[in-house]
Amino acid sequence: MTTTNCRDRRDAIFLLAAGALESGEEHDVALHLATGCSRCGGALAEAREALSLLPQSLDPVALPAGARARLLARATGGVRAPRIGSRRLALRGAGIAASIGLVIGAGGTSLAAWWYAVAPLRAELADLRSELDEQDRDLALLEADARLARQALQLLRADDVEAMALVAVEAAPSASGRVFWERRDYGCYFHAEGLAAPAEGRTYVLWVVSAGGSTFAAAKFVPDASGEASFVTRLPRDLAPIARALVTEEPVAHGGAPGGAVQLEAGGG
Amino acid sequence: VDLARADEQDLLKAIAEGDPSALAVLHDRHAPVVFALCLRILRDAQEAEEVLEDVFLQLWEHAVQYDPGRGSVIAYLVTLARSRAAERVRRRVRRARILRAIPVDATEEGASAPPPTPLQASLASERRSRVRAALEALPASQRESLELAFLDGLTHYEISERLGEPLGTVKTRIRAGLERLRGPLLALLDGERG
Repeated sequence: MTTTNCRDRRDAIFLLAAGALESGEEHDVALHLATGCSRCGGALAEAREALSLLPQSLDPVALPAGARARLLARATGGVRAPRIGSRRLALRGAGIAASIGLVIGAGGTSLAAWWYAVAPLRAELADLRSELDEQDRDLALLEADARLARQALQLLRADDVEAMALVAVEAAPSASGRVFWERRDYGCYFHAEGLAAPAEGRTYVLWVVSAGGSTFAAAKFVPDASGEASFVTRLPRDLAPIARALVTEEPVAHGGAPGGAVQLEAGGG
Repeated sequence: VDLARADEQDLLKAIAEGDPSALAVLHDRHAPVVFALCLRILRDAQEAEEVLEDVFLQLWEHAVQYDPGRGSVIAYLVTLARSRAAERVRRRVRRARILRAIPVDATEEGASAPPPTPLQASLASERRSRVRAALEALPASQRESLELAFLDGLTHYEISERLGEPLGTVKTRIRAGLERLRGPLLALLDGERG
């Protein structure tokens, strides 16, 4: 990558840090950053720092009394401060339950009247439970994303990381991908996009092939609804050096060598 | 080590070693600004304090992994606070949609920002006035969109709805505003680094 190209990217990196790039532009800059370019990585950190100045233009506000003590109590004692979101949900839930109790307690004039009065409240309770479940699921997904991002960043920062750009082939003309691996520890990060869902009962497999011709199925995967797939895996140490990588569509119980249609390929020539 | 005079690296080191007094020092230094941002986004002092606590606890629990090369502590804190506070607002909207029979804000009071703290570090004050000057120099439409994005935590789509402007117009304004702000903000950082 030339210095000029990196200098030209400064504006785009600033906009990327601000979340103001269109997805196509963002993709290009992100791909470049994923190569570990220290100059552009530094520019991204500097842009984030500069953008953080905007909220710092606000006048400081005096904290509620005891705020620091509450923070320190949580930090040192593991004491969780009351969670207002949960508390409000709980209070609302309790309020609804109390309303149900009142309706029942009033001895309603008829079972039908009681049912019609209570049904909406029961529905709201069910909605509340459903929302809590949804939040738990959101949290689990966010935690999984964060774990993957942490692992990927750790790997990409390694000083011995190598990369291959996987290019589309006829079976998946709009797909693209990258595979990164560490020469010493053999951690491997893969990212692809533009992949269609595999056929029923089939899966995609990432294969890596050593210069000596040994083939290893690094991972099975299925892209998400937007056609993207990212994961971190580990390669066997005796596979070095890696000469080729490819993604094929295989039966879920696939064999030890690629046999299905090739979706992405690198180093094949 | 006199923690009250310690620089951020020493404080982070002490926090990583489990010293709560170092956390208290960083809290004293930065919490009023982080709280101001949370309050502006959430319009609720209690929720703003919760986000403030979460953000400082995140620093407490992950100080070992904190990489100073990625930015200053205040940059880390305001970025995290903005993201968490904005997510709470969105969750509140989702909840309101689910619980439309029960008005979400019926029992909540509007924001009543406490008065500013009397103690202002001169650097922070100078920084504030220079960032404001850079914002003031922008055309009003660009400034408004940028403030909604960076100070109120709205997405571009939400800004478009709030202003009744097409999404493309909002994006163009934000982008143009950022391009004009980039120079002054980076110059301010350079100046502070000496």
